[in-house]
Amino acid sequence: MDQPPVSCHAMPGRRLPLRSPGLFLAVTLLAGCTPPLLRQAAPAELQAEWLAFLVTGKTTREEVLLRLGTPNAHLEGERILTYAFSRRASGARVHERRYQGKEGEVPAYWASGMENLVLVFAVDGKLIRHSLVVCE
Amino acid sequence: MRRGAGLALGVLALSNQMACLIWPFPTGHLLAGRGRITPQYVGPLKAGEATREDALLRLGEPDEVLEGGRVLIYRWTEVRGFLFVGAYGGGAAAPFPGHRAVRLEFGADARLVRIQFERGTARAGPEADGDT
Repeated sequence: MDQPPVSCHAMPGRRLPLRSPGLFLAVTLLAGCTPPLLRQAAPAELQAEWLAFLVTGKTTREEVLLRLGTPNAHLEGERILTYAFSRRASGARVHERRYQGKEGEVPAYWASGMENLVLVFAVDGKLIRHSLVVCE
Repeated sequence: MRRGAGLALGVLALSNQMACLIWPFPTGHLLAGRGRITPQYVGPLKAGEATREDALLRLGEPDEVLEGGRVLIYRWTEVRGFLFVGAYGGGAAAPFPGHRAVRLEFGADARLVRIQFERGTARAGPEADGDT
């Protein structure tokens, strides 16, 4: 016979951990301090309107270049292209470029909340894989 | 004697009006780069299995491409704490940065050989020679 779930409040001998003042203070100080993490966009996000033209096995490199412009980077020749975008409050996306900071430092993106579109093409120039890497 | 007491009193008065405090708690706010990469996030990229293509699809555009694409480096800078300097009627705070990087090395077959987390360097090593 299944037992009903028991909440912490129903156990009189057990104290909630946050009742400890030190731990409560530490949790309060560190709350909201999680830095932006990378994640791969879900399949539904890849079908958003601005990416809807990307169809695996169909979209060509030429179509991508005509639509999105010069890529931010190309690797393995032209087989892998990447584009960097930032997202405005209005929801619009802006193509971002790297800027040189101090002398000798690696050029970096200055925008926050970046999205990185990675496109992999076959030898015939057709799209075979793509992903959107989101920072949030 | 009178001068020494005055000096001591001056130092005491000054110490009451100025303060310097290092707040060593890393808030994790991003100062540069596109986001923190955790060991959990790169977990699916297994050495000997994952290809350069897999790594790029998961991590996005690298910040440095070395040795013709054999090495990809991703960099970011987080807030590691704050330095507060305060005086009577005013003060300032400055974050001190913590530089972080993930270095991925690939073999001749473009498969992942090694992933290494690095800290403490914001600068490029050798000049990037990839085709980015």
